[in-house]
Amino acid sequence: MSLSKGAKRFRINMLILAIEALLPFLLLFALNNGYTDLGRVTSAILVLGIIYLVVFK
Amino acid sequence: MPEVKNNPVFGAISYNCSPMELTLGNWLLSSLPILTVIILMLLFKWGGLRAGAMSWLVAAAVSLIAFGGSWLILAWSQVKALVLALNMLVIIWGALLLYSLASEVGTIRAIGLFLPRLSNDRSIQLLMIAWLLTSFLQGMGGFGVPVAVCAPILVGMGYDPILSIIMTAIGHGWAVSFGSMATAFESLIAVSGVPGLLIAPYAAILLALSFVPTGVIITFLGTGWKGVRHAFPAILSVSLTMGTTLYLLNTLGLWSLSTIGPSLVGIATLFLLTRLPAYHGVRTVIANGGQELSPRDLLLRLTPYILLVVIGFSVILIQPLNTFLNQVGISFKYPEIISGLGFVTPAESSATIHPFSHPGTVLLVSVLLSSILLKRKGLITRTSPRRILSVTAHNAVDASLGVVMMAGVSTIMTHVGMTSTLARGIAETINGVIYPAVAPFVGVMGAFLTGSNNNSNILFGALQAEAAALLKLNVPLILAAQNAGGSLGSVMSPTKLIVSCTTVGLGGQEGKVLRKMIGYGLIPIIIVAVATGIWSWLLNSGV
Repeated sequence: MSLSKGAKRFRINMLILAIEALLPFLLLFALNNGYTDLGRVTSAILVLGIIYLVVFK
Repeated sequence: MPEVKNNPVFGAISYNCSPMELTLGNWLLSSLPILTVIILMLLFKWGGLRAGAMSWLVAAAVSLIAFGGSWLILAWSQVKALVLALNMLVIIWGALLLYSLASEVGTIRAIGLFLPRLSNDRSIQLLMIAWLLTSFLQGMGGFGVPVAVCAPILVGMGYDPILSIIMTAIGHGWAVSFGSMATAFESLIAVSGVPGLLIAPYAAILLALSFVPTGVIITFLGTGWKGVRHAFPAILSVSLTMGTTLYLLNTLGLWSLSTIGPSLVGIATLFLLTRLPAYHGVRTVIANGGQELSPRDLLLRLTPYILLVVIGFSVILIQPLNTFLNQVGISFKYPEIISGLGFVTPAESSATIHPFSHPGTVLLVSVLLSSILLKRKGLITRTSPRRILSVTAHNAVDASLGVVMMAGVSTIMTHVGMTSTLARGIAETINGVIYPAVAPFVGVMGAFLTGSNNNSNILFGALQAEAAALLKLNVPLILAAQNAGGSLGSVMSPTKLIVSCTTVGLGGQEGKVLRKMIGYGLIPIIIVAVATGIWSWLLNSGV
């Protein structure tokens, strides 16, 4: 069953909200413990989520 | 460490001063995130969430490139923003849930049917809802609740959704600083170190000056100049009684009641005025298909709001209950953060969140209890909870993202010294004659950025006191101007607009609303600014 456009948008926004709420904590953990690669990936996802809001909202 | 300077009037005042040299370039860079939001929303009519996200990217880029920011600082800023946002989001979710429940059981329609019984006069109905009921709700619920509750009622009465938001938002602008137990005012006292009793009389008078213009703007938007001419004696009477109450409560040190008290007196005054033939209006045929609800049905449908008032009042005013509920408090500890350019944010704790007396909890409990009651009476069916939760979730996601983005912009700017640079630029380049008239706009800027009068006072309270002392101005008056500006300006912030627009089905159109609102919203602020300028000049010239 395919989702309606509104339902898809709602799910994507929920996902971004979860990313913006959880990843800062993961980023802190990575930076404080010297996990550089994890820090890079986390910050990239964090910023990409925000870029999505600017481009697709 | 935060710089501590000696204030010649009221002792030591501490504020976090940026070590960066103050140049026009730095100042302009610091203002970029705010300008981004304003330009995108006003000129390009972007929604609050999209503009907030763009502003976050600009703030992050400027902090990393020019203000010694790092990913660690961005991570901490975002964590602090989440905690800050959570405090507001619980209220927003509760308000949206209450609104969905009210829509489901026909509360909004019931209020539309009830009002004509009070008065058939449209301008009186408008003043009652958009000015006094919103102010009263601000006294209890705070963030977003007044507009979330009252704007849909006005839409239900046939008013344009954009105008409904503007009228309800401007209507409760004065009530923000002393609402929610005067938290914003208490913060101002705490950060400036100036006794509240010295600031409170000035604060009362400056805010009371906004009463008449607020009433006039609401009536003008709803009923035109004819309505203003008709309602002006009522606006003046309500302003006088509310202003006197506000001044008395403030001078007695009872500022925690300085929103609820004047609002109730205002409601009583307007109620008495409806007994006059001029304001009772002409009895018309009841709308909505000629149906009229019985008093029992009406009371039943009003249950969510009645319970909100009763529970909210009990939590705030019954002292033993308040103390008991406040026993549990959650606070987060943050480490010292130093930017690459040496700007220090000292180790601090977040504001304590009291989960059991929090306005969000009051809203949620009201929803829960009224749902049980309304289910027993058959107004809530088996499919209702799913519908209510689905509508709430759809509205809450975008509103939550918007609040998180704007809170993030604010914390990034604060942690790398952009906010400090911005405020210093204003405080150090404007002379003592002009500064008093500019002071309210500093409060407006803080509230616009953070969506909160409380945060504006925390950000700029100490700086305003310091600037006033250096310029040999009356410090309590300038602090009162900061407070009034923050209060009146907070209702125009993108954060609050996102919530307001969601409740009347205008999600994503915040830019359009702000564009229409800003002209009207600035009128009371300009009046307060001019009054502060004149008052300060009179005080300094010894009149």
